Amino acid sequence: MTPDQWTARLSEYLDGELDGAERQALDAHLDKCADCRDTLAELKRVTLRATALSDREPAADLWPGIAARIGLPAATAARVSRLAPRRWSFTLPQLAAAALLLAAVGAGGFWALQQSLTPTPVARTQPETAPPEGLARLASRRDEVDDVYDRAVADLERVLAENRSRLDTATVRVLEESLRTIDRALARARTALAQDPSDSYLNAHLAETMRRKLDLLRRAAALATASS
Amino acid sequence: MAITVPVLLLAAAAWPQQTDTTVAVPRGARLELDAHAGTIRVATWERNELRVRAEHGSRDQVTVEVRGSVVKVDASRRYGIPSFVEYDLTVPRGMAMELGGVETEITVEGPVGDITASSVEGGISIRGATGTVSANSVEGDIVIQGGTGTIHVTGVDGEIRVSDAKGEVTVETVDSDITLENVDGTSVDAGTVDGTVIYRGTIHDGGRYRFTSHDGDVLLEVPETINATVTVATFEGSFEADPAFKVQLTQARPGKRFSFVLGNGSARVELESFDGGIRLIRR
Repeated sequence: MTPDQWTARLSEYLDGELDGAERQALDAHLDKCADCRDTLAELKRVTLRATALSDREPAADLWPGIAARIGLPAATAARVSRLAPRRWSFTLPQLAAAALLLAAVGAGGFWALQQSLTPTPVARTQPETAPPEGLARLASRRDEVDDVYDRAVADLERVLAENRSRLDTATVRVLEESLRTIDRALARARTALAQDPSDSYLNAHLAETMRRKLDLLRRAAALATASS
Repeated sequence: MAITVPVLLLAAAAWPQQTDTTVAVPRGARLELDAHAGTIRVATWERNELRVRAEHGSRDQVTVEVRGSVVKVDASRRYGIPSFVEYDLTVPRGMAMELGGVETEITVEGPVGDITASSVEGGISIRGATGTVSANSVEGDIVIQGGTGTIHVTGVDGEIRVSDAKGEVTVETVDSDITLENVDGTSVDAGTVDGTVIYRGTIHDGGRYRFTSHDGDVLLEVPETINATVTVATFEGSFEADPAFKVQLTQARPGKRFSFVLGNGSARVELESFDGGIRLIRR
């Protein structure tokens, strides 16, 4: 096994599923490969976050935390908080976990891409079946990610809906059109992924597009609430 | 007559008034200006002074406050928000600044230091920044020319253009094109959802470069002598390379992903488009 191919085995390594010889070989590789050490550390963090995901109880009012995450000054956050009571159905750790998981799924695609990097002037295609185990494991968590993501999107959309009258109508139109653009991209990526769930590029692309939507919603919500 | 009076009052309220004041500013001070609507134009001079010229409504008052290392320029009126102010500022060379506005066009002619500029409906143009540049607009175009630090640009619907810049460049937008021209950076990351990404510049050994679009083309125009490991990823798009790069593709059908090495392969280049064309062009 070439060193780069170890990247796909890190998840098994983390789960203790490698046999003794493979584990020893990967240990030796980790001593020499900073990239794989970083990847392994990130996987550990994601796993910890994912574990915490199902153990947390929803908090009663997380608006101050959300406001902090979207970069609102404390005074603005407090003012907005007084405007309309909200019910939040997710915790900040869940949001953080979602971000990490999204990043991890995205990174999974990237790691898989890195596997093909061998010093040859001839371009190589990636195998289109039999995805790396690590990526498959990350992909299998997509339902969990989707759940947290959907709730984060819904809550940010609610903030935006409640405050959209504070934005110029032209700005609202631009934001909504851009959100529709992202939604179309998401739909196409999901359709493509349904045909080929193991495709690492599609996994990474979907994760990145989801992250873009969250970012845009955060910006839009911050603009709307800051315009009061 | 009953109609004339309010009209005159409105005219008086709208009648432009000018403020022109110059204040000494401490060396290394940072300028802060958060406008509502209008324009902000910034130029530099050799003095340790800030000159503020502003055209505004007669009911508005423009103030300059120096507090420690922060110089704050503000416009206020007794009731409500000043509707429209045109600022012309002359600042010490290299001054750091944070400029913001809603319906505000921002133009900065450096050299200035670290700069953060944000607008919702206006464009942003920054030339000659020497520090970190952060520019953010929803509807306006963003143009960054020159600059030697970290450049971070976030747009939504306006075109983004970065040229003649050195440093780390990150650009992200949703519904618009990105053009990076004569960029000399070791780390460049540019992505859009519905637009074209064009990079014309250098690829440094050991550098990291990433250009992505969902629904647009990705064009990389670089010298054929670069040392880079290039990964190309697409779903329904295409890839085309100038023959000068001597890329040998073994892929039988378009789409999916592949990699190839140019020179010693030391830089990492990622090119991705879900369904657009990806082109490697000789510069």
